Amino acid sequence: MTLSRATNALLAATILTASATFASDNPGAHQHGHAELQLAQEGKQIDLIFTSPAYNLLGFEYRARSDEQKALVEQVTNWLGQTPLADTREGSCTVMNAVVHHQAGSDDHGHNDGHDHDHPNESSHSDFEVTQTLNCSGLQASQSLVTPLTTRFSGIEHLGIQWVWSEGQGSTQLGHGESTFELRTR
Amino acid sequence: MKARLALTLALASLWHRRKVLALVCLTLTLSVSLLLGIQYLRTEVKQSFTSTISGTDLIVGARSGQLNLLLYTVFHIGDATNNIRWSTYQSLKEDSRLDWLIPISLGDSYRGNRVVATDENFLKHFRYGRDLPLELAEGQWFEGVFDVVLGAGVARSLAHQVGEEIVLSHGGGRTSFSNHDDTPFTVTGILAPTGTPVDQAVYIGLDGMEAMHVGWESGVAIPGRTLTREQAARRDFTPDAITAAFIGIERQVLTFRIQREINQFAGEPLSAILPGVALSELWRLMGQFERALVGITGFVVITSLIGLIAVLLTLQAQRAHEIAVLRATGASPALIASLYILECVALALTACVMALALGMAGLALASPWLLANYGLQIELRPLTPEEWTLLALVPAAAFAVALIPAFNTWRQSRRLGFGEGADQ
Repeated sequence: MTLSRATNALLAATILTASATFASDNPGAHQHGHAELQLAQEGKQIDLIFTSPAYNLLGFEYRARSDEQKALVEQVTNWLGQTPLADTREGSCTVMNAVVHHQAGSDDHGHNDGHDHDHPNESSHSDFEVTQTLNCSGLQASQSLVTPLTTRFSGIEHLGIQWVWSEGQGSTQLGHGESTFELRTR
Repeated sequence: MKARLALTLALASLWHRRKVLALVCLTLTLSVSLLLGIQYLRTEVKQSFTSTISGTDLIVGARSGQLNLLLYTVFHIGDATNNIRWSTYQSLKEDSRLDWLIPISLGDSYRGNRVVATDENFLKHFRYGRDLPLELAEGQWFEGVFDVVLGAGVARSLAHQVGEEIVLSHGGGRTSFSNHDDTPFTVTGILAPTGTPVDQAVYIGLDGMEAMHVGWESGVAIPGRTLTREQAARRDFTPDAITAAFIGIERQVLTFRIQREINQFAGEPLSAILPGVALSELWRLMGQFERALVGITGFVVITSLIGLIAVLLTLQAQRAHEIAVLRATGASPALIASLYILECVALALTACVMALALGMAGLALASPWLLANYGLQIELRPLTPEEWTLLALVPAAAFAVALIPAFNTWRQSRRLGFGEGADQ
């Protein structure tokens, strides 16, 4: 009697903890054609996170097989690591630090900072995640920013942009080919 | 010389017809006021909507969509699907990157108004509008377990005063049949009006929320199990869960990073949203509404300008005799044209200045009253470039209108054959 009650309690506890862990760990949304850019501005510095399904950038989501595909992955990864993903109209931003993270490369992931990452969310879908720290001179004066993403990648049909800056928070959405957005509070 | 002559003649003519002109000026002033008023209201409605909350960097609640979380925490629309554990809230509190946290616990109501259980951080850190803090119009923030602070709208509509006792209802809804009769709350303060949903809620402590639910475990009050005030004073009421928390971050540049960490919190499924981002998304969804307002503004612009043209044309038609006399005494068509133009533009400018003065005085007088009685926050602000353009359209239209009778005079003089010589 006591034993079965204890087992029940144990079982219940296991189920509870398991469900809690699973619930908080459910996979992120993955929608082809859509990508997200989050910008945080402080003084002359912009911290940004860009997330997109690999399909938008490469046209495929499986691990690169042919040499051609591997070259494409390499090229896109380098471009994402070197190009400021948000810039002033004058193009005064420089990339101080960038990490490109994805699962489409031949060696599981590619990045240009030399650190190792683990993959807690390995799934059949693969995503690109780019974090950049930018230094932009003359940023305070100019509220209008430009992103090269929507013109560079035809797979991005809409790019959701969210920002945080000294004046508050805001968001907008750019369609394919639209590259300019205005930092405004709401 | 010619300019001076034109000016003297125009002034003399204006003075001669002052009564009619005063009426015309009034009509023009009203139509310009309408034009500016609609445009002003349109931008203010948006401003008032988007300034419902400010200064809060993140709102954390149980896993849900960002609009849902924003609607039930800030706008008091809809209900939470889940709560977050008190232990989770405590662990968030220990994060040194977070400047402050405001716990929020929802679920009960007072005559259709939300009961928000929170703590003193709500008064200290909650901001709305352009970084405006909450202020108490009367009394003080709650301290005891059974103290309640009323939003301005609630206090006004139900005519409550500080010191009164009120009974909160269990659950939401306007007419609740299960009331917390055994645990009445004393009104200790009334918040100043804000023009936001803050006005339509009542505020109690987290301990008060717990205390009034002792003995309600089965969903209704079990006689003898509920607390009296004396019993409550001796007990500790740490809640098990809260509905959501508002968070202020020390360095805003970390907002997205902290948001991501909270969304991936291993202990329980949480959602952290950026209220500013969610608000702008919500406003985008209501784009139809804004388009309707733009449409109305467009119609008003067209109607006012046509009205303006009609009034000015009628006015100029009445001057036929005066113009005939001037022409007969040798005034050139150019002089006549300048008379028409001077009069129309001067009238339009006067109307603009008067409309601005009228609008500003009206707003200054009406805005405290609107806020107190209708919870509408409409502030006096400088005009936007768009509004200046609209205003500039008025004298521009007047100038264009003046050209019509001027051109007619010139054509008539050609027909009568005394044009050539008089032009020089």
